[in-house]
Amino acid sequence: MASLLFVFLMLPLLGCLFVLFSKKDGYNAFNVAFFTLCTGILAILKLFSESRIVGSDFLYSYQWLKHPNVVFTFGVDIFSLLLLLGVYISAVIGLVGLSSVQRKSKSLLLLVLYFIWNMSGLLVVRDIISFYLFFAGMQLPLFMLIGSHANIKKSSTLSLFFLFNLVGSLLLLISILTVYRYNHGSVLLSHIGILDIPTIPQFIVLSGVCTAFVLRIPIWPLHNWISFISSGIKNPLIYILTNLLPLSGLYGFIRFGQVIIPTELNAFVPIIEVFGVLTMMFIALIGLSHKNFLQKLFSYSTISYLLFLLSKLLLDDKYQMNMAYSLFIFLIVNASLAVLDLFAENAREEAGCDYRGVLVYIPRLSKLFAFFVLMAVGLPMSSMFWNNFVLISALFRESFVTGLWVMAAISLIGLALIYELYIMRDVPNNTVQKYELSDISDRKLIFFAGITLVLFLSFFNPLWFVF
Amino acid sequence: MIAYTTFLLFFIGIFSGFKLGVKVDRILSFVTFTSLFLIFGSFCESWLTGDEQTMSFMWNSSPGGDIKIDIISNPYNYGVIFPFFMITLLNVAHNQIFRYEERRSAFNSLAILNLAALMMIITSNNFVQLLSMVFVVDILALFIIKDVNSYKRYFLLNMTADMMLFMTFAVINSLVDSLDIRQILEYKKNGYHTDFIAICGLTAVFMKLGFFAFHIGVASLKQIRLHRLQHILFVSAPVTAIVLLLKFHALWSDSAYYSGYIDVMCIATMALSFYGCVVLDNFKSKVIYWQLMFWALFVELLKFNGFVWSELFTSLLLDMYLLVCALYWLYYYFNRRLLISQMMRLVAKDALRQDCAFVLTLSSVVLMANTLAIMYNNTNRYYIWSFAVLFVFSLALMLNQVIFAPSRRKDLKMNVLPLHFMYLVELFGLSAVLWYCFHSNEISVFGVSLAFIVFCCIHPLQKLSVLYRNSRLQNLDFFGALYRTLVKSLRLCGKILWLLVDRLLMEKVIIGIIKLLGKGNIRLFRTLHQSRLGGGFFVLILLLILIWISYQQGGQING
Repeated sequence: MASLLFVFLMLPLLGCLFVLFSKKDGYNAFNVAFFTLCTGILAILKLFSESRIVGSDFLYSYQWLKHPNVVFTFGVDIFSLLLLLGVYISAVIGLVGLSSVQRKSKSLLLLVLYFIWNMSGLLVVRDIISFYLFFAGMQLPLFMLIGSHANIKKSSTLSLFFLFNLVGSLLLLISILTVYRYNHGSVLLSHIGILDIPTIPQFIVLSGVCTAFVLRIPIWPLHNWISFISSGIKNPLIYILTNLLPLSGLYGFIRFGQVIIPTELNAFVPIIEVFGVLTMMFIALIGLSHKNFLQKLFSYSTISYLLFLLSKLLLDDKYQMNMAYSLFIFLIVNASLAVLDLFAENAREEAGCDYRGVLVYIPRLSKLFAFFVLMAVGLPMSSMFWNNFVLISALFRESFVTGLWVMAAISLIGLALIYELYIMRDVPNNTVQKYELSDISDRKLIFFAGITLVLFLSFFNPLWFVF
Repeated sequence: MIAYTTFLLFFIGIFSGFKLGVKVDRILSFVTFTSLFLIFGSFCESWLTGDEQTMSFMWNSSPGGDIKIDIISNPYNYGVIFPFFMITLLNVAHNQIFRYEERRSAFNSLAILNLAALMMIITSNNFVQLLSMVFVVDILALFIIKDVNSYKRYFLLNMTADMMLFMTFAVINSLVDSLDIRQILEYKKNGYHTDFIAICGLTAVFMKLGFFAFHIGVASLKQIRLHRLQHILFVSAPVTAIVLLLKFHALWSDSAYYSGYIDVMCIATMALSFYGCVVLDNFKSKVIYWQLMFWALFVELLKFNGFVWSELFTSLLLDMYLLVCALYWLYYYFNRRLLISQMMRLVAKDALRQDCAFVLTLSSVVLMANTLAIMYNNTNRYYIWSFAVLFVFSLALMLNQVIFAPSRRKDLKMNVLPLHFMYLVELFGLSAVLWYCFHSNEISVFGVSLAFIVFCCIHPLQKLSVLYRNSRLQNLDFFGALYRTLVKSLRLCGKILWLLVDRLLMEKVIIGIIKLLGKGNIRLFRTLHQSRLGGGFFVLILLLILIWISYQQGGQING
């Protein structure tokens, strides 16, 4: 299993290498990236079955340096494998969403694979130093992707993105250095809570860790960078990757919080809870007021991330698998909706058609779009429905008021998404002109039909793909 | 066994949904109808043999809670399912006989899948199974409605109701820590927020029933075909609402507001529906409001019966279905004219067909009056009769205006119905009326029937047809405007928040301050790097501070 994990981790880097040496102005780089990610998915599926045999506490260590003592530790469990699978499938969906011009861009694909490598690393590492390396490492490719391929017009947005992430990484670095000073070596993530550190440095560590993760999750008032970026991106793949960034913060909370939350982090929980709930309502209202599907989708994704964050902070670890099942579906649905919306948007711009009723002229896309919107809203079409139910029930148990606000925010954004779907399917009565919009191709239809099948089958068994 | 029936229905529903050519579609539709009829026969047979079995299997298991699928067969569940099965069968039969649909089997498929989902709701013992199927019924309703403009309000309201149900069940589950519905009694023992649970749950139920203030969802369905409308009104969201009441009344009744809330909503719905039946010109709107009136009466009756289902409710439902069928044939007979004012101008060429619809209506009224009379004896509530009288009174007004209106034009052609079928219906209606007249011992049944006939001939409100010409009244959409204002205010709130917090506070103030600080620092360091005395002096002071701090800290560590 260790060798399989190593191969899996090295796959995106290998892909980067092949992309680097691929021909210019062709689809070679795209094919390499696509193949790399698909192989990664197969490797994850193999890891699923291996982890069933080996067990969830599998760890693999590699001594890098003796002075200073740096040991990299890797390991996977069903939770991280589900997230990995979600990330890989989202990235493949993003690749499918690229236009023919974008598919020829080598730098885009290289940076994407490099980002995916960092994300994969983050989800499989178990020690604090490697965690930091991957956590900080994913910021550079994303910054370059947004800067060079996302057509962001305002430079201040980009500097805001960089500033927020840099501060987060620096804070995490300070925390890790503090831990290193008292421990003199790599520490497993799960051991942070049991380290013997004096009170003030402990406070520095925990504040640093919390702030670093919170900066990645768009909690008010630190949400601006991601909302500004998300509202301006026209490239589906970059949109998806940007919206994967909060996952790193959430995952950090999940891994770091496994031991420390019951004791030291307790002081932070009410603050994050209040700000989380406020942000959810705030984002839901803003989502309702926007007249653009992508912005509504961003609001939806933020609210979902915050739901998972609150679930992590307030609930027992026994709900972790419910969270993982839900997150897995959420990542795929979010990516699919972003790509489908950009397909519709491109077709609309080509034909000069109105936004209202655009889906009427693209029936195939319309059906897929409706399916994913209904799934996102929480209708029983995937395992997200009942897992969210279990999570929200548990939230109500912890705090009735928090549960109420969470439900209000989820309902608001759900209704906003459905209303937008209606707008996109409604042709005004007095419309005479009929447009001819290019619908999605057979290949894409089959691809997305496959995705819907994956999600739908999860309704009956969330791990149906594990044999 | 209900489980066996449900799975068969799912199978037939999916099989019937295949898109085939027109000829094959007709054959497939016939095969579907025959299969459904046979399954219905087998269902009734199992019911009569007193079948009691439980099919239960683990659907999903997680540390957060196990989800089981339960399909429980017992006489009670059979009794609740029976009318809806019967209505679905009749709808499919209608679809088979008349040419309502371009693709008959597609409609059959939706109707059968809807029935299977309803059966799973009725037999469920698990919150997740119940909620899932409630959502499925709502999604199927979308396909049945088909028209984008019509389903907007209906679906949004139903989705809101579903979210409220989701929240109610989540709160219940949070306390009992079990997804088993039978555990709600535990909630009753230790329950908190009982008023919240009751009000939230009942509001969801009223939304699904389309009661007062939530009626705009069903009222907007006036554009869809009548048989689809009939299906939505009888075997879709309202049925889920009724089943929810049957399942959760024991929990909700703990609230002090429970009884009052139901009564107020039923009375308000009655009043609103009566207004709709009298004032509105649109035939389908009248049918919708009239149906709402029926559901209000039905809920009140259920309440007085302690929310225990009995064959009387089955009878009431089937009577009502027969009545709407009669109205539907009338509508069809008037060449699908939508407005009562247009129907009033037509004159019957073949009075027999018109009479036949009237007799069918009369027979349904008699049947219904008889059921109500038995219920009245059980509950002894006067206002059940007042509800019933209002109900019959508004129906009589519609028939008075449509059938007994003075004819003004004679040259318009009527639509032709399958004659032999109508004779059969007439024969059935007349025999039913006669049978009841001779066998019912209730004087009230005769009274109601007589009153109905009299009102049909001479209605005191028939002159109110002048209101049909008032376009402002016809297009009045008070609650629609109210909801629009609510959504607009929420959107405005979002926009203001966005402007104040995101743009003004964050972008202009906080980020502006950070930018200014950055600029200030750059200016400061630029000044320091210039060869000025002040700069050198400042750096010297900074160095001294640094040395002092280092000295202090070093002393502490060594000491």
